[in-house]
Amino acid sequence: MIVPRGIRWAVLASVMPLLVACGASSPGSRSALPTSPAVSTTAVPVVPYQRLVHSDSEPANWLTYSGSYMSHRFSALDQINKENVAGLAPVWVYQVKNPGLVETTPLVVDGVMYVTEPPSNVAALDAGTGRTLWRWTRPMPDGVKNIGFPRVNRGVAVLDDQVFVGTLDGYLIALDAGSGSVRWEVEVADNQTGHSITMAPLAIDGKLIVGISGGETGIRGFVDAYDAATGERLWRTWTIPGPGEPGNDTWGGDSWRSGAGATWLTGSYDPDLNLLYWGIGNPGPDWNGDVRPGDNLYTASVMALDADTGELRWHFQYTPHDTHDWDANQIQVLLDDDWEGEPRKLLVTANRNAFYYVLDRETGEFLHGVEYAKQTWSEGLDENGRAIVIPGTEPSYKGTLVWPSLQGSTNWFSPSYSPLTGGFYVAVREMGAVYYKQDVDFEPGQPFLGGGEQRLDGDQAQGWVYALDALTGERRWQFNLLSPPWSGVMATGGGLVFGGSQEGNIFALDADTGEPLWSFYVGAATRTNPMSYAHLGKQYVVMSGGYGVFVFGLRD
Amino acid sequence: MYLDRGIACLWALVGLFAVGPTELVAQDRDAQLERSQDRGQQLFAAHCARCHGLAGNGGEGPSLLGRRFERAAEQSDLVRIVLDGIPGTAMSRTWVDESEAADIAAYVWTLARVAEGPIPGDAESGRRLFEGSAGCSECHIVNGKGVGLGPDMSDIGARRGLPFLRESILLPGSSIPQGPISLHSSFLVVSVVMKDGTELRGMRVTEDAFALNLRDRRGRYHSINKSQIASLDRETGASLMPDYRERLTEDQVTNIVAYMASLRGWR
Repeated sequence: MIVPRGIRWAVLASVMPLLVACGASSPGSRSALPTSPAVSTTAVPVVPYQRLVHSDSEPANWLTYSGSYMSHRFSALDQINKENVAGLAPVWVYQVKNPGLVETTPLVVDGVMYVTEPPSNVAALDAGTGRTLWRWTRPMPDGVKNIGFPRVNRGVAVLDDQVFVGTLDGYLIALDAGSGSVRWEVEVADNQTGHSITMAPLAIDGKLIVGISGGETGIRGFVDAYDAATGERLWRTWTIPGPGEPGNDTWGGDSWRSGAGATWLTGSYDPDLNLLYWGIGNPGPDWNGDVRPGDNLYTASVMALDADTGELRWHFQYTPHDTHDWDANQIQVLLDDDWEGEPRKLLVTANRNAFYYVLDRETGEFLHGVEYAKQTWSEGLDENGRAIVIPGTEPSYKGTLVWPSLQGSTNWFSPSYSPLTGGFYVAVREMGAVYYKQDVDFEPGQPFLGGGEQRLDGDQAQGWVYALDALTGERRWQFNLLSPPWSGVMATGGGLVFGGSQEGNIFALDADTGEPLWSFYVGAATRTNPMSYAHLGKQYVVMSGGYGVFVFGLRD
Repeated sequence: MYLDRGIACLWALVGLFAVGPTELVAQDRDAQLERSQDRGQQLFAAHCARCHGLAGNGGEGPSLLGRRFERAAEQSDLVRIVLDGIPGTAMSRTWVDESEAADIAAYVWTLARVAEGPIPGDAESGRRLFEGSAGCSECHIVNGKGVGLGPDMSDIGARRGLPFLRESILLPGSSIPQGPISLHSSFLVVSVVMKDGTELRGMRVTEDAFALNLRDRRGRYHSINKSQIASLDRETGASLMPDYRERLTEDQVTNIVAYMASLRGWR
C-alpha cells in the first residue's frame, strides 16, 4: 500500500469509497510483499454510532476494545481455522517507540489499525503492511503519578472521524482520525491526587464513557460521559455514595471519603436497554478493612448506569467489604440466552475473587454463581450471591495465606465468549499469597494501601486457560500455561481460542477440546489481548509480546 | 503520629524529676528509633519479604543480613532505594510514603548489623578446595573460570546469606534458585520419557507450554517438543549436584562457605 504523503486525508475521504484495491504486480518486479497488490488505497475511516451498534455485521473490522458492546471478544472470521491454523505465520511486526509494557488492543477500521503505546501514545498503521501512517505522542510531565499500576495504555475508541485516548496524566483526548491532530482535550481528574487513565474509552451515541485509575491512592471513583464533539462533560456518577445517598451507610464514619472504587477498565453496553455495565474496583485502603467497616458500596461491584444520565439503575456487589484487592473491573460479558426455558438478557463475569457469576442484566438479579478457580476464603455463595466468608481469611499483621493472590484468579485481561460453542474462555492465575495488614493514614496523592502480599511464586503457582460453560460456569477443559498469565483470550469463528503466555508463547487452542494447534514464540512475555481483522480478503490475528505488536496470517 | 509525639512529651514531663535532660533526650531518641524500627519490620514483612525473606535472609533476592550495601553508604541512601528501586534489577519501587520508607530503612539498617563480624573459616583454603579436590569448578563458573553446568557463582556472596550457602552445599536440592521475574525455576531436575521411548534427565533450562529445554550431566542441551512427551517428572527437591555431607569435613564446608561469601562480583 502506498500512502500519498502530504495529501490531506480529508480530501481522500471525500473522493474515495471506503476501500478500493486495484492494480497488480508487474511480472518480474521485486517486492517486499510479493503477494500484496501494487497499490491499495484507503480512505479516512469514519465510524458512525450505528456501525458500533452493529459491529457483529462487519467482522473484518474490530471497532471497539472488546470487539462489540456485548464484550464477547469473539471474531466471527473463520478463514483461519482448526484445519489450517498450523500454517499461521507472522506477516509484520510493529515495534513501539518507547520501551514499556504493551497492553494495547488495536482497533482496525477499513484498513487502518490504531494502536496505543506506553505510556499514552497513539499510532495509526497501514493494516496491510504495518507501516506508520501517523503517530501522536503525549509528552508526560515530570512527576506524573501512577501509583498501583504500570505506565500502560490499553487502547483507543473510535467514533465518526475521531480517535479517543485516555492518558496517564488524567486527560481524555480527541484526535483527528486522518492525521492524529488534536481536536480537543479535557482533564478528567487531577493526576497529582492519584487519578490516571489507562483504559480504552467506550464510544456510544455521541458520547465517550471513561473510568479512572487510582484505587491505591484512596480517590473517590467515578464514571464520566463526555460530548464527543466538544469534550464537555455530560454527567459524572460517583462509585462511592456521598452523605444522604443510598449506600453511604455502608461506610463507617467518614471512610467513604477515601473509599477508592476505581473504574479502570472498559465497560459493556446494551443499546436496547440503554444501560452501561461498569466493573468497580477495590475499596481503600486495600488490605486494612478495619478503618472502613461495612459493605463499602459500590466497590468490588458492577454498576448498571443509564447511558443518558449516568443514573444508577441497579448494582450487584461481588465482594462485600473486600480486603484482598479483588477489584471487579474484569470485563462484564453480555449474553442473550435461555435461562430456565425463558429467553433472558444475561450478564456473566469471571471475578478476581475466584467465582463465576450469572446475573439478569435488566434487573441485576443474581441467578447463579460457582467457584471456577482455587480459593480458600469462602465456603461458597448464598442464595443472593453473597460470599460466605471463612473467618480468619482477612490480611493480618503477621500474614494470612489465602488463594487467590491479590492479582486475583483473573485480572484485567479479557475473557472471551463464543456463541458457537457457548463457552466462556478465561485466562486464570492459580496463585496464593500471604496477605499482610498494616496501619495507614490517608493523604491525597499518596499510596493508601494498608498492607501488601508475599506471593507464592515460581513453581508454586500455575497459569491456565479454562473453558467454562457460559451458563453454568462448569469447566469443560483446561490448558496449562505454567506461569500465571497477564494476557487475555479470543475465540473465533474458526473454532479457535487464541492467547498468550508469560513465557512468550502466542498460541491457538481448539475451542472444543483445548488441544493446542499452533504456537509461536515471541521471546518475551505477552501482556495483552488478542484481536482479529481482515484486510483485502485475508484474515489476521494480532497479539503483542515484548515491545512488538505481532500480526499473523496464513501463508499464501 | 501526633498521638505518639504527645505520649513521648508526657513521659518526658513525668520523667523530668527522675533523670537529667541529656539522658532524657537520648532516651527519647532511642525510643523513637525503636518505634521506627518496629514499624519498619512490619512494613518490611509486607513489602520486602517476598524477595528478601521474612528475616531478611534472602531468597529470590539478596540477603540483607550482615551486608555492606554496595549502593547505600548511609541509611538515607536506603530510603531512596526503597522509594525508587534499583533500575535494571528486579528491585522495583515500593508503594510506601517517605516516612514509611525511612522506617523500612531503619529496620534494614539493623539487619545489616545482624551478622556483622568476621566470617568464620579460611576463604583461601576454601578457594583451593572449590577449584581443586571438591570439584566445584567442574560445574560452576567464578569470574569467567570453570564450567557452567550449575549457577554462576561470581557474585554469590552478594546474593545469598551464609546459612543459605551452607545449606546449598550440604543439601543441594533444598536451594534450587528461583528464576527471574517470578518465572519457574531453572536448575530444577526433570526426567522425561518421550513417546518413542527415549529417556532424558537433566536440569530444566527453560520451559513453556510448548517446549522444554534441559541440560544433562554431560552439559548437552536437549530441545524437546512437549507434544512428543509421554511423561514428565519434575523432581522437586532433587539436584544434579552431589550431596557433600559425606564428602567434606565440617571445616572444609566452613572454608568453602567463607570463599563463596567473599565472591562479590567480577573482579
